[in-house]
Amino acid sequence: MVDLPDPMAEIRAGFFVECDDLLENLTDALTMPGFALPGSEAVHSAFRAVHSIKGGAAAFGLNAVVAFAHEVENCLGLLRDGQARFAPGFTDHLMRAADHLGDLVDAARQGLIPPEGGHKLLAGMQPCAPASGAPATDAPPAAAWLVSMVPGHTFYATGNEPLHLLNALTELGEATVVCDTTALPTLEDMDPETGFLRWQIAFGAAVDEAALREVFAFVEDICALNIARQTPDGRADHPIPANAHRDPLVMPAAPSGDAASVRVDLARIDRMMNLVGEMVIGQSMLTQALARSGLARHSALTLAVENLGAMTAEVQEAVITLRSQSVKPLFQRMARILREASQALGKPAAMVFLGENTEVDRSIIERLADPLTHMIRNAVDHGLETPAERRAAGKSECGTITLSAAHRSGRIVIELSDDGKGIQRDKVRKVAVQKGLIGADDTLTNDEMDMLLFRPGFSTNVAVSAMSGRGVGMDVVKAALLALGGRISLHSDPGQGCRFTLSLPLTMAVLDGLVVRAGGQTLVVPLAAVLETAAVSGAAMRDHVDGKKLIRLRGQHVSSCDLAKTLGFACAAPPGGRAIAVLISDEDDRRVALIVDEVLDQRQVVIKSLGRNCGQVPGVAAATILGDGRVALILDPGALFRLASHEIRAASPSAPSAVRLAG
Amino acid sequence: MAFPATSYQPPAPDQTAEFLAFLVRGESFCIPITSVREIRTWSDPTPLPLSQPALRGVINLRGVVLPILDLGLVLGLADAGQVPRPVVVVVDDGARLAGLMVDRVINILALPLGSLEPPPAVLAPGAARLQALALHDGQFLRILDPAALLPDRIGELQ
Repeated sequence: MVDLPDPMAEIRAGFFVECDDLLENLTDALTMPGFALPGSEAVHSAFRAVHSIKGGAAAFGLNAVVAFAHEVENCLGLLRDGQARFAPGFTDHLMRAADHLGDLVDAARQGLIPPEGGHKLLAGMQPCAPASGAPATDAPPAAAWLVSMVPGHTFYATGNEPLHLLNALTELGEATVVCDTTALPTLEDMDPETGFLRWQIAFGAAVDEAALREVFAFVEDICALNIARQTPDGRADHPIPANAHRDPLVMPAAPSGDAASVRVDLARIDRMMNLVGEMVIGQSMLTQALARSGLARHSALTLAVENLGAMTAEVQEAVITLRSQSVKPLFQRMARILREASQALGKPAAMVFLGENTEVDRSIIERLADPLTHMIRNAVDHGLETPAERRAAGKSECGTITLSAAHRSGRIVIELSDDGKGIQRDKVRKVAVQKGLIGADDTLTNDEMDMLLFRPGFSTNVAVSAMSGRGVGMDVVKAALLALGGRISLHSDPGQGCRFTLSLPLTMAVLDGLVVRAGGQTLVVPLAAVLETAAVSGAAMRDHVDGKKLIRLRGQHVSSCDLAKTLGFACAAPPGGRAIAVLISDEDDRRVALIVDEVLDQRQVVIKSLGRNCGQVPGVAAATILGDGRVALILDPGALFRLASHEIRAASPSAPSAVRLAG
Repeated sequence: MAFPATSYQPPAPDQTAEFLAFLVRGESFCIPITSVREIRTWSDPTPLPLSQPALRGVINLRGVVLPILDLGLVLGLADAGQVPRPVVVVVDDGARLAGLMVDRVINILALPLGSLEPPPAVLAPGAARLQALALHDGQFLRILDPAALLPDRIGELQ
């Protein structure tokens, strides 16, 4: 028996996905310049987002969300209509309210108890001057109105019901509603999916214009609308063109603001990606077979296959971009982390985004959140000075954290910079000596000194603060990035600030690899771990130390590991006694030279998980499929180190045999 | 496996089930046909590091990395030397896929469920991997349990 998916659960899931978009719109609107101006597009947009969240949440009985959204909506409503003035810090409060709304939605999504704190936020959002002393100048006195409403095709197609609007209107005050049926064709000619009725609503008593317009808030662009003041003789005076330029019955399908998009299950994209990967392999097998067939290079068949190859590569690229998303939601999350951190530490700071529309594979974005969060907290805690210090240094009291994203040579580069005090190298040195990371007399270049920050167990902050310094440091950030196939570097100008540069692959689905041969097998070494390759002769191999063979590379001795032997492959001696050393480093910057027979190629390979069918395999992170259709293993440098050192200690039975594999 | 009360009916003794019969090291075994995904000709697998001999390596099954088990070694049968052209039976135990290397496939048998007997508690080679025994044409057939052959055990093979 197959469990049928619960249709309600699907709708619910859809609502939460929509909420994410709406919350993004809301944050966008709140950060738009001119947001606080009454009637600005930004405030309208924010209002609509909150209103939609409220509406959806009400349908699912998410009372905590509804109640809070309602308060925020009221507040935005006052702002939109210019009916109240707010204190200058009001936008910050709204921002935090938006964060809280996001938390409430998240809690509802996971079925958790809604977080507290809403009341405190709301208290900060009360208008400081209701109606701002001179309401009459802005808001014209409420008067009698004549409304004409002509719903178009889209109005009905999107599930609206004129009756609800009419009911809402008549609740505002006593009104006379006249339905105009003159446009109604005969039954034979009638298109049943189009509306032909028009309504005239005349309000007898004075009604507030804002309230009137709010009724139409969701249909104003799909319904021809005319709101005019009534003259004493009952006729419309200077009509206010709500959207008078539109043809009443022919409405555009949808407002052009958001580009058309489809939600697709990730599993389907992955399946497609798999198949396209197979197609690429099939294509390269075809090319190889053709090359062996002895056909002329310019024969029609060869050219056709080449052409197909180019197209296949393009299809693969296109499929990879399907998984891509803009980094904007991630950046917005980081802006929130900054708000919280700067509030908690009393260091005002603003965030600047650059290139937030850059697209990256979704799985990378997900795994960047934790390292970035940590780095931003660090930047506020250790990087930025206190307002007093900043003033003394001639800087503005409010610090600036810049988060930028850009595509650069097939990778994504994310930079996080602050305008704080920079790295205090003398302090770093002292701590490093104290913790035994360096000797007291060691001379280090500035770069080497800065890189000490990434060493395990390093933390310069004397007092462990609530924000950073939870026993995890930049070494954890570095390890997380390495696991993603990324690199991190750091540049610091004392007194000017500090900049971290993160370089990441565009997708987790492909990897830059060095294709090598050892023990008759083809293997892939992740290029991110490779420092250099060099030809070695037997003479360069030195004596054993602790069972390790040492090798001399660029004037330094490095321990070496015979890859074929370490992996347990039959090792035939390489022809002519020559071998290649591939120098790799792991996340702790330990180095080892892998001795291989040949280096074949450097290229991007498609990563295939071994997980489900094979479980964990020692020394191996994943697999890929080569041009000839065979499987080649992708090595895991970290696990290789452990294997190599285990091999050396193999004599002692107590040596741990557990091997961790990067996932 | 739990069946909803309404759809489950105990098998009638005269109901039949189909089994794939094949030769391993010259001995015949069966496996329920419902667990067989496909049968492939041999292609040299890529060996995995530090694995036991029974795990021959992995092959590419249309984009999926498929482990290949030497069924003769898994069952602890005497090595009769490399078969010239072995065959891979791709089995699915509901959670994972693996390829079983066998000498050759014999045929598909329909056996009455009533003729199946639980495996004896004898310490014959590979007895733990058996699901049932059946008498067919005066001959005992050994029916393998796919779940007892597959991946959970692959960790043990390393």
